[in-house]
Amino acid sequence: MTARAAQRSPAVTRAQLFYGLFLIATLNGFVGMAARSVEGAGWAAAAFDLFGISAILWAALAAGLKILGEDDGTEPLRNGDVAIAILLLLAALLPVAPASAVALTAASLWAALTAAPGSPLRRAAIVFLAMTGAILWGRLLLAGLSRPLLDIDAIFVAGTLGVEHQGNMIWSAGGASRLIVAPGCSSMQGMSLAIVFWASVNQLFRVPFGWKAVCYCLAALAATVAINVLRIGAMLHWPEHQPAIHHGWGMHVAMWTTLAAVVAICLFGARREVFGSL
Amino acid sequence: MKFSGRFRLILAAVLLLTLGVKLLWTRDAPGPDDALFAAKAEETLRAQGFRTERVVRRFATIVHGARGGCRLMVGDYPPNGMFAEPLEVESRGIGTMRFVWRGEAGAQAPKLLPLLEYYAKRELGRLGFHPPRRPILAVAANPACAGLALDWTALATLPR
Repeated sequence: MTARAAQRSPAVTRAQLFYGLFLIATLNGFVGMAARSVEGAGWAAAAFDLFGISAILWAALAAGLKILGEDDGTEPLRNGDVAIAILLLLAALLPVAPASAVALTAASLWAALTAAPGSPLRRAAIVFLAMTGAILWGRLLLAGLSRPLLDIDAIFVAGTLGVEHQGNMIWSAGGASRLIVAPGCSSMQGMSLAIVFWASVNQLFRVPFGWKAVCYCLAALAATVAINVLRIGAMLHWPEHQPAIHHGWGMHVAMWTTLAAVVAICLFGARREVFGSL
Repeated sequence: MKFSGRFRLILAAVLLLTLGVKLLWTRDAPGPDDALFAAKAEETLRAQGFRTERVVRRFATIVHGARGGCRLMVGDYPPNGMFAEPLEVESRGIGTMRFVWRGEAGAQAPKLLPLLEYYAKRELGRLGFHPPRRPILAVAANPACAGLALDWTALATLPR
C-alpha cells in the first residue's frame, strides 16, 4: 500500500472501532443475565428463552450493528475515541456486567454527540443508548423511585377495576385479596423495551424525528402499560389463577401480546420508510 | 463496511476473554435470608424480655413482640422500599412505623446509601464474595414502649 493510500484509509475507522466497542459492551452487559439464565434453567432451556434477554434487545443489537455497517468506513479516529475505547475495554474486563452497561452508556453518548447528524455512527449510538435504558438505567430508576413508579401502576389498575389501592398495594373488590406491585411487575420494564424497539426501527429506517414519530412512541408505551395493567388486574380479579398469570402462561401471553403490539405500532408508524425501502 | 482479518481476530479474542471471565466467575447471588432475619429478630427481642410471635406473609416474615403493655413489630424493609405499604398495613393498630439502619433510627426510611450498598453487595455476591448485609428494620411500637431503650445491635449486621 502506498503512503497516499494508507492516508486515505486509516487502519481502523471510527465506525469500525465503535462497531467493535458496541458489540463488546453490549454482549458483556448481557452476559450477567445470560449466566443466571443458564445457571437456573440449563443451556438448552436458557437458549430457548434467548438467555433471559428480550428478543427486542437482540433485535436492537442486530439493528445497531446493521446501521454501523452502512458506514462508508472512511472517517478516521478523533481525539477522545481511544480514551473511550480503553475505558470500555477495562470495564468489559471487570467481572461485573453492569460496568459494561455503564461503559456502553458513555461510548454511545460520546458517539452520538460527536458523530455527524444522520450519520450511521450517530444513528447506531442512539440505538445503543436506548438499550442501556433497558439493561441498566430503567432498573436503577425503578429501584430509586420505586414508590411513585410502582404506585402509578397500582393507580391504573385500581382505576380500571374500580377497587381500592394504597401506594403499590391493591385490594380486590370486597377486600378479600390484595396484590403488591413489585418492580418485576412494573410497566417500566416493558416501557424501556418499547423505547428500544421504537429507537431501533426509527434509526434503522431513517424515520425523521418529529411529533408524529413521538406520538407512535407514546402509543407503544401506552399499549405496554395497558397490557400490563390488564395482567395485574387479572391477577386481582382471579386470585385462584394468580401463579399462572404471574409467572406461568399469563406472563407469556402478556409478554408476547406486548411484543406484538409494540412491533405493530412502531412498524406502522414507520411504514412509509420500512415498506418503501423494501 | 469491511473488516480486516486482523480486526476480526482481535474482536473475537476480546469477546472470548471478557465474556469468558464473566461466565467463569459470576454466579447467581443468594438474596437476603428472610428466615435468618426473623430468627435473629426473635432472638433480639427475647433477650430483652419480650414474648415473640412470627407472622408469615407472602412478602416477608414479621416478628411481633410483647412485654407488659408494650407491643411492637419488626420487619425487614427492602432498600428499594417496595414493601413500605404492606409493612405499614401490618403496623396498623400498633403504632407509627420508624426505621433503624446502622443503629440509627428515623421516621423516614433511608434510601440512597442502603440501595447503593445493596447493589454493591449483590455484585460482590455474584463474584463469590459474601459481605454481611445491614438490613433496614421497619419497627412499629405502641406508646407503652416509649420508655424502653430497645437494643437492635444484634440485627444491625447479618451474614445474609
